[in-house]
Amino acid sequence: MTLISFRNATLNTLMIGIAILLITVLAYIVQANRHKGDVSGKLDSWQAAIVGVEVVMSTDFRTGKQQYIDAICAVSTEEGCAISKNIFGEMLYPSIEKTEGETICDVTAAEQIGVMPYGGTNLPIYRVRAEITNQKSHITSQGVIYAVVAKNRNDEWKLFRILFEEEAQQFEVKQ
Amino acid sequence: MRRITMILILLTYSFSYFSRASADGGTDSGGTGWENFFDESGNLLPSVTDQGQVSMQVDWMPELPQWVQQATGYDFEATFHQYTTDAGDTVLMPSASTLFFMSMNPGESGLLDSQGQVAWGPGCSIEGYGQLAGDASGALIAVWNSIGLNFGDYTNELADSIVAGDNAWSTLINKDAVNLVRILSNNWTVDKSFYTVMLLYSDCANAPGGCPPGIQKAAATAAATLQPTRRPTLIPEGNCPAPQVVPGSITGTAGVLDPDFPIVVGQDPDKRGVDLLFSLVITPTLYHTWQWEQVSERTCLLPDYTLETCPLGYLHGEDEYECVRHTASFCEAATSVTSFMKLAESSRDWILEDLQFVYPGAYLHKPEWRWNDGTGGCRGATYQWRLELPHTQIEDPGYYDITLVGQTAGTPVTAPRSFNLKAGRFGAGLIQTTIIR
Repeated sequence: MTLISFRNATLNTLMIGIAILLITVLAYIVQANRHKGDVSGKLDSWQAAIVGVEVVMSTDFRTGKQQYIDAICAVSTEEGCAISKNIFGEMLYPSIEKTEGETICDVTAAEQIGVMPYGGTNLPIYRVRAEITNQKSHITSQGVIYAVVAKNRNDEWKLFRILFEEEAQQFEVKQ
Repeated sequence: MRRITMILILLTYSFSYFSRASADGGTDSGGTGWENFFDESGNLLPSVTDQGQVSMQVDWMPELPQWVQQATGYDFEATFHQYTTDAGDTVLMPSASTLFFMSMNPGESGLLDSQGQVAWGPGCSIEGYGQLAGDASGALIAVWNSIGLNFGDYTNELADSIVAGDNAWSTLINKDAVNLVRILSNNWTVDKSFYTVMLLYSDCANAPGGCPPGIQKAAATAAATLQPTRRPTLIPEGNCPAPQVVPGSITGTAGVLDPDFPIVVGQDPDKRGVDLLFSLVITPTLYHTWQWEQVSERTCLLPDYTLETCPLGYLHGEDEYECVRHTASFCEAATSVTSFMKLAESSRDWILEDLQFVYPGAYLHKPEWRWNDGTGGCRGATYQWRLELPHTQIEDPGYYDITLVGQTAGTPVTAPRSFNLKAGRFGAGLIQTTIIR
């Protein structure tokens, strides 16, 4: 009886060890791909929101506008990519360039808080809790960003767009 | 290259409109204002400076979440292609998304301050709006048409409510978020930089973003207004003093509103934090000019006589002239203010050296802070800015120095300038216990 218990304990420890190893490897792969802006495999809608926010808010003025847009487009739907060219390429990037910005964004949580009717369907809206570290000041700030996700032509969940502050306030009121 | 080609095409197409507009009459000076930019063949005049694509932070563009602005210093900017003359006339060609947000905030964005507009609708047809302020609703609808937006049955209602000053965002989001996505997802707006509207400002000070450096149209206007147009016949010989510009002073203050004796958050059971107030004041920039003015005159002591018919000996007094000073005041607004709060070096040393004896392992938690927000505006000709930071959670004890760093927009008579001000200092206390044996 004692021997069986010992064997079960050993097996459990072994299984837990393998599980931790697998999770670590998986996390490493996701993390590595995340910073390349190239996440392979299908994501759930909440994962698409997380990856989208991290890519959009991780900036480095030295890489240039095109690379920044390309990274966003890699995690966005086709229409989201087109929107990003306007919002982040035209409207935001001048600011990144002027401030010589360099930031790293990490998401800590995401929850769906509503839907946005669009094109005959309802797109999930996520409230994403994020940390942004300014690499110049080394100050880390935390807050909330609202992201809308949609399925692309290949039926994959991708970032559709980040909401403006004015829009986010509208959704906050509805809570 | 595509962008330049597109602009040239648009400028060429614009010729017929400019010719027609000139023929129709125009400003008091006999022109429409466009003749300062284009010759009769529709070519840019050599005197026009192509300022290229300019982008600027403005209040009427949408915003990133405030905490992201604070963390990064980023914000959405308006983008224009800008042409100017040395006299300060300005033509702006807003990008499609910028034009869209201008039309959502037509008053604040300066869209209604434009003296003339030319738009290219589908198929490159050209239409002039005339004075936007005259028929603001109609002009907004024309702007939307030029960028391919259709709000359907409630187009007129939306235009009227926006012109009436209603919150454009709530109107738009509640009724038609799809159109917002549509305008932001138009690929051609970026790929071809499709500029659909030219806005003419006869004074660059009225244009979004104000005058480019080196161009001070309103200064010349102000000087022309203040100088006498015709010198009095009996004024003394000699000139009045030259105009003088006195820039306003920039002062920053920072202090604690509450509590009187703040303590670090680690020792504050209620996590009350400290309420901070930073403020900035830019006093008016003064533009002094002098001109000869008659301060007294001869009179005839006899009734019913003029100076010309007054008998000898009955003339009284003298025609006297003096250089009289006139002063115009201009508000100099800040275009950006960044607030820095840093733990003093002496306090850092105290934590890392002295405090180590009492609390081994003591370290600096958050010795440096930065904020990019705050609100400001002109009251009269004085610019006032303030940033309130309630319940700021100070983690490291010691003295904090606050500095305000930023840039002004300049005024019609002065160039933009930067500032770096020591605004104040406050202390966050640490309650220490001494065990008496």
